[in-house]
Amino acid sequence: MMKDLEKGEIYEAIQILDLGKDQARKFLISLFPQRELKEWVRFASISFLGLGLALFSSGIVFFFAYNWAGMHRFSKLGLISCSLAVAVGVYLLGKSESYSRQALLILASVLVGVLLAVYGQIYQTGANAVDLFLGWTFLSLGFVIAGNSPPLWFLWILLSNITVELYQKQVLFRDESPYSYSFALLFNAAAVFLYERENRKNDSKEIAGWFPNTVGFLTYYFATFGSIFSIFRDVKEEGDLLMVCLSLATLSIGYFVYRYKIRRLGILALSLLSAITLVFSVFVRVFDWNDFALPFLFGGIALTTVTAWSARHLMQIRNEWKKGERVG
Amino acid sequence: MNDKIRKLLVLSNLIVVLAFLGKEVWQKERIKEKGELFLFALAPVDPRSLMQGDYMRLGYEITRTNFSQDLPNRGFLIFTPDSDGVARFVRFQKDSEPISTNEKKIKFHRSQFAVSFGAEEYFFQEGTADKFSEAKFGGLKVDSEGNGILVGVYDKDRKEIR
Repeated sequence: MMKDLEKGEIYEAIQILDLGKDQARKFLISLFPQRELKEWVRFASISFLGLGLALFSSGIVFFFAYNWAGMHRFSKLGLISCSLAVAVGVYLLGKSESYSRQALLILASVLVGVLLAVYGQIYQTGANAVDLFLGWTFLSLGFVIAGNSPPLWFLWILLSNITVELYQKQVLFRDESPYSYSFALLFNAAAVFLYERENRKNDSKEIAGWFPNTVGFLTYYFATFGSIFSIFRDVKEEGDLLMVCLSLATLSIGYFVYRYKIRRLGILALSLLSAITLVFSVFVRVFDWNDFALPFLFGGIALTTVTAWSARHLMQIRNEWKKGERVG
Repeated sequence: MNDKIRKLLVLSNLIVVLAFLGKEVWQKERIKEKGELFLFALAPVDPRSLMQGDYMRLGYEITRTNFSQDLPNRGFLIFTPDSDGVARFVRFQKDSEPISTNEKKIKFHRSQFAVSFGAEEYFFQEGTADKFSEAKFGGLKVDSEGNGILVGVYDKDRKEIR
């Protein structure tokens, strides 16, 4: 693999081969072929499409967030419904699978949210209500399944996560439950798993490396915070044991899969960070607060040591992978 | 998934969204039309929501002063309106009955520290907050089932602030 050469190594090669200026330039171009114009155009069109979509959606959101008193409530709802219908109509008229058709579906999914938010605004049903996000999650599912692309799924997963969080805070409040954290953990882990499976099946170049990293981050968020919630609760039930076991399973499976099967250093780092956090949460929980100077000191030293070791461990793994690639 | 199924799915999703919204709007409009207007005394503050703009958080006297830890998660607040429609607290109860003729009911649900009618935020046009700081009452339209929606806020003379 040429692309993983370090700058220094290339420089060395140029020195050893004793290349002149022109020769060196040719050598570099042969290592890193220049991009074709076609690729640049494609890159630009995707970027502009994404940028346009983001700006257009936020324009719509902020327009309605202004809450114009001079506009009749039915004309607000009518405007958004018509835009939604137009977006869907243009999608239906399209033929081939293209980025712009995906963009229409993303726009439609966002408009569903705007529609529900404005409905809440008109009938004063409360801000950031769990019903809004629950409705948004379910009412955009059809668009998401039809489009079946990483950005659409990501939007949908984000909505689901927000719904779970709000459900905990607004509905369960008195009895926040380890089961809903466990559910959220499994939900996100399943999404990552499905992505990796699809990715392996297609055996093509990775199209959305950001997807497993971000959704993996959400998975670890729930693994870590769900366990902390369970560890620090005064009243314990079976659910708490399940939560902690699930987290430990997630950490270890995550570590082994991403070290030996698929290479993602980010998720490895998250595994180690979560593991350290969990171990120290238990440590703080069983802490004797009457005499805390010594445990505090040793705890601090231990924490520093483990963190330093993790960083070294990650660097070693990275170098291992690099070497492997060079041999292979 | 071929394109036909995909299009069918997208189209049916659109229909579901519009039907759902239509049903919800219809229900709320009925309460707006058929419900009786009652006033609930307030104590407000102002935040902003990203998608819904400026709003005023409302705290109703009637629920604040009568809150207790042993209330059920859902139930009815029973009140009697005075001659101006201002609500006076009678009691909380779990079910819609028993209720005498001069008493009215409104659904509530509770959270850890408060009772809520699901109408604790009043949205208004951005930049018009000053006007609404005069608010002393929240006006709720309540139907015979006890479903309430917030329709406006009122000043100390019990006039609607527009």
